[in-house]
Amino acid sequence: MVAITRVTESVQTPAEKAPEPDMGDEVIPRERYISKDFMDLEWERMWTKVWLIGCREDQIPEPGDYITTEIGKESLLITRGEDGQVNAMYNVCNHRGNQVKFDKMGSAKTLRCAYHMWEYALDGTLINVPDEEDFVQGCPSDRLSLKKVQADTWGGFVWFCMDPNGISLTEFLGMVPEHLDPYRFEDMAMVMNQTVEWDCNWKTSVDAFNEVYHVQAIHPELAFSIDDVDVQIDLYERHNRYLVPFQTYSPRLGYELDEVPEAIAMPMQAIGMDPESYNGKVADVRVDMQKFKRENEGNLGRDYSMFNDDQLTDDYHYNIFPNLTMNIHADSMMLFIQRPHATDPNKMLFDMQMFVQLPDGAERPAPVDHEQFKHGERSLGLVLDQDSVNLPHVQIGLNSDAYEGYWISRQERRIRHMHVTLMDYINGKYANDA
Amino acid sequence: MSEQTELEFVYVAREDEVPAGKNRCFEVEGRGVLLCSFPSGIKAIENFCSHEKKPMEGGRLRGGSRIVCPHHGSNFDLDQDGKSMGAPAVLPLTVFPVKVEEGNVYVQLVETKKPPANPWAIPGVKKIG
Repeated sequence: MVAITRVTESVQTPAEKAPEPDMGDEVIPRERYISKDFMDLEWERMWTKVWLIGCREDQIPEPGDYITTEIGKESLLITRGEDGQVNAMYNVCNHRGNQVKFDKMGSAKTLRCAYHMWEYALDGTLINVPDEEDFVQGCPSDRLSLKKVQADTWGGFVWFCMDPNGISLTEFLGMVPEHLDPYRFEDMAMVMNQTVEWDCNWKTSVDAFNEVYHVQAIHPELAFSIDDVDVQIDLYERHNRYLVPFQTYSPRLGYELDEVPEAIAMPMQAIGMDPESYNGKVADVRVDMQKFKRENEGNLGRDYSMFNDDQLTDDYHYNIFPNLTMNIHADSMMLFIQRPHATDPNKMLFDMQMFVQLPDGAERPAPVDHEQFKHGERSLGLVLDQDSVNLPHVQIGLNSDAYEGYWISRQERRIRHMHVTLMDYINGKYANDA
Repeated sequence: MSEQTELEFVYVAREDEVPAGKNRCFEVEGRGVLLCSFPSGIKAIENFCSHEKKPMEGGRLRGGSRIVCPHHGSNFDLDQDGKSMGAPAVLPLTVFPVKVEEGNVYVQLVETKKPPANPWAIPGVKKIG
């Protein structure tokens, strides 16, 4: 049988189990997933108060570069100013309400609205109005400049917060930088950037990745490369995580593997280990891979000194409240950004982004282009196809009057924790943060 | 694909060894061939589900071309190359082309459809380095 060993000493990212909060065991009401009223409350009290990812810093590398991004009913314009700083503002011209930019990304010296050519500086300041003298009421810049929101950077991402009085990004992230700085997301290259339109609530999707209980049901292939049972769950103030052992196998199999499965052999080969000649037990591969990576970090062009051994194989899986799901490994990160629909609680946008760490000294390629499509139009790969196949059906079920709400297990308690944080926002716990 | 078209049809069983509306597994060259007797005739699949690799034998046949896994209930359309029509399975079954001559059933033993070696692999990821 697999006997998982875990590191007990941290390097930087804490490995120890966080104290368990008492969260009760109430049914989580389905209304939170289907009600337009609750969706509006979420918008007013949560989405407009939290820090959200807008883009990668290297998607707007030069002054004048910009991207647009949607969150709920709003479109945000994120620019790199002449001073090199990032700016985030509502993407709406204060003349007749047109979106200043319709394209996903571009580059411009100034931001000019395509309707009547009102012109704004890269930081949103109104600088030119054609026939300005014709506006008898005047065109005061302090009133008509693009409305800015807070912007900051961490981990190579540009973050924004629509609450002008909200807490800083650093305060909002809390323990996250201490935990995740060693991964150096800012140095990773973005190798995939896709958005899928899903027919479910944004939380239906977040929930799907906040528990491993479903692995035994829908991902039978993963039993041969991860341990979905010995999973450490840690719940912090807003955010949470679980630590999933990789390059091992599931105790649910109920027998000992005597041959290295292909899904473990491939990552072994990728670092220069030979699965054919490996003469240890399959259950020991994980720890032997950790040792191998540590001993060969120079050859691999890596510096693993900031990681504990488990981080060299395992998935340190974080949910940064509310909508970020991060599958984090020493050499890669898969990020899901789950965005609410503008008007419909039964729809959402699912951003899938993949990042890889480069060998030391390697030049980072430009981020890949963005693609968007509807669920089912193309495969998302086996695991994500399996994850997503149920979601529209869950959403339909959540709308049934026969269904009361989530009846969930301990294994699923990250879902409950996310709801505790959500309801803290709804009930005003963070309203007076600033 | 060209390999498949060149494959010989190999004998599996007599058509009347499979009762109408039922299925029965025969071992051919070390592989389980599940003959399914639909109203339109015999169709054949490899005898395991794409979900947990459990035998499909005994799964109910429905409509003109569907089989339901007896273990977790995924159903597959054999006329759509074994496509899964419902979770938990998302991958297709292996469907064998069938020929019936004078009551003898023959199939082409096409390659088993395998899940991707790396289940995490996502199409569209740019290779670097």
